[in-house]
Amino acid sequence: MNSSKTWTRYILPGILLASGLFMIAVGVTRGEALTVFAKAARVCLECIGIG
Amino acid sequence: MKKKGNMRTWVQAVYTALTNAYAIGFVKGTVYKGPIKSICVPGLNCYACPGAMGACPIGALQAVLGSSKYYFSYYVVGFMIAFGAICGRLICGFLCPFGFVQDLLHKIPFPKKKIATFKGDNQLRKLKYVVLAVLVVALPMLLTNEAGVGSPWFCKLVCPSGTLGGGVPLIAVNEQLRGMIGWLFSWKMLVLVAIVVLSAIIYRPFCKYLCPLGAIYSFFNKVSFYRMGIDPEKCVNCGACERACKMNVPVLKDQNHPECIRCGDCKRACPKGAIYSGYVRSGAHKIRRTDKADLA
Repeated sequence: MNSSKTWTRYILPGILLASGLFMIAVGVTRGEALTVFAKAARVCLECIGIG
Repeated sequence: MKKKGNMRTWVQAVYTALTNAYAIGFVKGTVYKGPIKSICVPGLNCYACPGAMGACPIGALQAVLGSSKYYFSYYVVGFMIAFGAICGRLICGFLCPFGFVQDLLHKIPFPKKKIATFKGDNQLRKLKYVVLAVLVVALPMLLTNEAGVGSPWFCKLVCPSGTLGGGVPLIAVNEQLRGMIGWLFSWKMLVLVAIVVLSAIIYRPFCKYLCPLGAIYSFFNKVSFYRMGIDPEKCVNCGACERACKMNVPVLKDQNHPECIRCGDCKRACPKGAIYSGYVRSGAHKIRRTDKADLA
C-alpha cells in the first residue's frame, strides 16, 4: 500500500478521531457539556414547536 | 440476502429503543434528566423526546452556538468529528432513529410507482448544506435577543424528528403543553406530515434534502475508517448495484460517495459479491483493490 493510501485510510481517520476526542475534552473543560445538559434535561419548547 | 437486510432493520430498532429507553417519560410527559443526557448520540434524536437518553448533536450544536458564552462548540463538533471518522454516513443507515422511521414509512405500499429520482433531484440535495449553514449555524449565532441568546432555528422551524419524537408524545399526555400550542406547532406538524407522506413515495426525503446532520457526516464518507469498495476482478459492470441503491449513488464510480448511507443494498444486489464494506483493518486486502485508479 503506497503512502497516499495509507494517509487516507489509516492516518487521516486516525487524526480526525483523535482531534474529535481532544475537542470533546476541550469542550468539557470549557463547560459546554453543562450548557448542552441544561438544554437537553428540560422540555425544549422550541424543539417541539411551541417556544 | 433478505436476512441481511432485515438485520439492518433490527439494528435500527434496537438502537432506537436503547437510546430512547426512558419509557416513564412517555407516560408522565416529561424528559430524562440524568447525567448521560449531556452526551451526544450519533443520529438525529430530539432530546425533547420523552424517552431520549442522550443529546441530539444538531440541537446541542445550536444550544451552544446560541448561548451568550460561546462562539464555537468544541464539545459537539468533537462528537461529530469522532463519529464521522469512525462511521461516516453509516450512522444515517444504521444509527438514526428518524432515518429508521423513514425506512419503515417507505415500506408502505403506494398506489402509484415509487419515485426513484426526478428532475432537479441532485440540485435539491444541496439544500441540506444550506439548512446546515443558515438554520443550524448562522441564525442561532447571529439572531440573538437582548441577553445575547439565539434560538435553535432548525429545531424551531423544520426538524420533524422533534415534532414526532418530542412534540406529539409530550402534547398527548401533558395538558399544560397542550394549552400552549400555536401557529408554530401547526407549521411543524405540516412539515412532519409532508415528510411522512413523501417518505412513502420517495426514499428518505428528509435525509436527502434537509438533514443537516447527514450533510455533516457526508464530508466524512471518504475519510472514515468504515469504507465501501468494489473488487474490480469480480465486478462485471452489470449495474445491479446502482439500480438497487435507493439513495441514487453512482456505486460503480464512487463507493464512498457523500450521499451513500452505507445501507448495504448494493452489496446485497451484487450477483458477483464484488462489493465490500467494513473497517480498514478487517478488510484491508479487499479494500486495497477498490481504488478508482485500480478500476480505471
